[in-house]
Amino acid sequence: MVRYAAQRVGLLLLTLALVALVIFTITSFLPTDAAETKLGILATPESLEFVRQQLGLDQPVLVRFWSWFGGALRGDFGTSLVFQTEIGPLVMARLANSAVLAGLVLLISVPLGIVLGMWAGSREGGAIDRIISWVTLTAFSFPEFVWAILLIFVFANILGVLPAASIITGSPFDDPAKLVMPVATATIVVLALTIRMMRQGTVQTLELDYVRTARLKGLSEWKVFRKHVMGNAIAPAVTATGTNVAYLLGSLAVVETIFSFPGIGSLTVQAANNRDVPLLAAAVLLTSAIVTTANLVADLIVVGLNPRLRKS
Amino acid sequence: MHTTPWMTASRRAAAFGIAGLVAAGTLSGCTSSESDATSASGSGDAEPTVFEMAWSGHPTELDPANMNLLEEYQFGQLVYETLTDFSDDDLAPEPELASEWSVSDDGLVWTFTIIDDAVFHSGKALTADDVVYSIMRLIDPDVPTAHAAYYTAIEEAVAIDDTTVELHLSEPMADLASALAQPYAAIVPEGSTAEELATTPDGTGPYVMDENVEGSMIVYKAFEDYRDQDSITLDEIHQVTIAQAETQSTSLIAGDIDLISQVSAQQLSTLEAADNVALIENPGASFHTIYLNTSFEPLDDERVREALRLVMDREALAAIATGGLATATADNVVLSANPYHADIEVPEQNIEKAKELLAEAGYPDGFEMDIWTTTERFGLSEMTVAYAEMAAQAGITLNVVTKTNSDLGTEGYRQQPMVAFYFTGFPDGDGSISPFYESDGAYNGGGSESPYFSDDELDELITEARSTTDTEARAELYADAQEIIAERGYALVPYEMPLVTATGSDVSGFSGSAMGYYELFNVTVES
Repeated sequence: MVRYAAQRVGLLLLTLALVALVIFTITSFLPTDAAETKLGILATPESLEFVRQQLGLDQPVLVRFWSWFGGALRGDFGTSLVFQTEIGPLVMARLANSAVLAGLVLLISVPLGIVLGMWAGSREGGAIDRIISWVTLTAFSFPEFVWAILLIFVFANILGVLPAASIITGSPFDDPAKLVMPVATATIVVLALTIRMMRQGTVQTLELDYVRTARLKGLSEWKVFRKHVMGNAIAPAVTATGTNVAYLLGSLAVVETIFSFPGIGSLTVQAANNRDVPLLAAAVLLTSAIVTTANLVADLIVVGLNPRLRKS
Repeated sequence: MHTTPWMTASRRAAAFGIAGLVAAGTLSGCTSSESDATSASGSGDAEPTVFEMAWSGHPTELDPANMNLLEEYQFGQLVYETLTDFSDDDLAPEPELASEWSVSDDGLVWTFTIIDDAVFHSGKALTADDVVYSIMRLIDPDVPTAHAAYYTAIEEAVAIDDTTVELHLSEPMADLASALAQPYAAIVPEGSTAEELATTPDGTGPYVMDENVEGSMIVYKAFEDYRDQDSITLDEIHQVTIAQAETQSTSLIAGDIDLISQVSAQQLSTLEAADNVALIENPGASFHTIYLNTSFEPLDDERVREALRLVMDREALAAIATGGLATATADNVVLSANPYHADIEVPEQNIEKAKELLAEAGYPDGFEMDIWTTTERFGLSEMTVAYAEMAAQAGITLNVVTKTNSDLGTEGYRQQPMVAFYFTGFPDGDGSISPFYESDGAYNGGGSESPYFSDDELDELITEARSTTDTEARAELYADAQEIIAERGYALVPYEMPLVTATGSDVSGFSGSAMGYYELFNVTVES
């Protein structure tokens, strides 16, 4: 188990280094750089050269990468090329804002997803199952921006009860109304994913021999469910939650941009648009670290829950 | 009325003030850049008046000398001041930090008298030394700034005494007073470093930057030591970044914001239908154009260019591209908000004449050519497609190629035969015409490339106007130049577009500006 965890952590670090390298390399092939983004393409060659020197863009991409990566290993992500502020505090603050959104989404979607998924799975083919399946399929079939626009239309445009934009300066909790639509938008899809995974796990577990045996022993349906189904069915839900964190962070880039919420997702989009490579690399690196760590934790929990996996 | 993005979503070019031809709170608040300056807001018991204005982009460059975006100019307008300012009526230069100015007979020495009651947000009083520092910083060859090319005529700035500054020019520049009204000519404290200006702005403007949530919002508070307190009617201004046009509209209608800086044609119908929204239209703010690259055959033939001009139904293009917002023009790059704009008759579409010219040029069956455009500038691709249909009537096959706005600049400009661009206008004569039509103009090859267009008569007019300080005489010269452009220019300009600003109907005292950024003096919000 310890060896397995160590291997996974090593792989995680290697993945992160590769992610950063890929970002630096890919962005070096883009037709415009931060200097052109800052000055416009009609800037004089002298101005462009000066700004490129100022920003270190005159260095080869590998030199820039090693310089940045060395600093990142020491916790110093450098200075944003465009915002001209320290990247570390900027990214961490935005991450904190996004953590509030993500935390609320998971707080709602995980328990609710587990309960509704089990409920649907335990009534496979029944009316409840069909309704839940249809609703979750619908929720999952539309991308976040569609739900966001729909929510804005209904709750801001028609009813006028919620703000269409979620711009904040202090704590996200200063004005909770601004959190409602971003959280709701991301929750719709993540909740649907969790329900479907949980339902699937429940249906599969209910078909296993030992469940049939437990029923034949005369145990009540509730006891069968509580003692023999829940523990096994929850494993895929845990895995799904790990995967959902990745999905959720991707969703946040869309949701935060639409609602103008200052989080890590919208910051990443802005960094990409501005060709702000160090900021982009730091934002993506941290996001990747969260995703891979969430998957690692989910895998370790699943291994922990399953004695056979633990032994192997 | 500045710049033109063709480079990024809202990036507008640098040289000649054309910002881009080519054109975030925290749990702890630790990303914010905060000013130490004092502000008037919140000093009383009454609820402060907060004005929320939505912009599609966030100011990233806070050093005035390197600003390129309209949203950055808006930041500059609130925090900084310039020697001169554009008048609200006709964009002519008027006093701001300079109470008056004069120019020598040879046009080579300009003398500015600096006001003595302006104070920086840091508390330091403005002196002539700050002005000299700011101007010399603009033209420092060792530390190039984004708009240095606009000020190449300035050789030196000299402080004569605490309130008098002389600018010594290498050649006459009649539009200097207008050039110094540009937001990038803002006056900063002597000795300010680029790093200080980027993070802790210190101007003499009516508002102090209180907080900068990068990428999301800037909070301004009224400057309590501003010399004209009566004109400051807002305690706090929030410049919020809302990228989505629909979200902007919904927020304005819901009363969450007070102003949308640039209303697109797609937002108009929604906003027009709302009974709590006021729309302010300032004509002559921007235009669409089709660049004809004369280094490609057959565009090197004047008859072919004339044929391409004649196939154009300008009124129809204006209607198709902007839903009727735009006004047809005769290829005029000097827009109607410009004091030097000349009214020139708009040519009618004449397909038969176009066919005759093509036959004369040896293309009786027309020709085939690519035309680049983008969907990233509202109406531009619609205009291009419609124009291609019009050209087809004369036998000319234009293959519409859709690219990113950035590609138009990096891969289209100078490299493709026909490219459609979006430009914003410019408030003076020279800045409007010379980049496009002087033989070494920045948008005409930039001096280091073969120009798109070179015309001795136009070059002479541009040079003469530049050294003609008499306003009426200069206006005549620019009118002549506009006639020539309409007759044989290379950049087809079918129409110009207004800048539409939307405010809540409870906002009063706001008049808008074709410049695209606002002073916000004497603006009040009822609710």
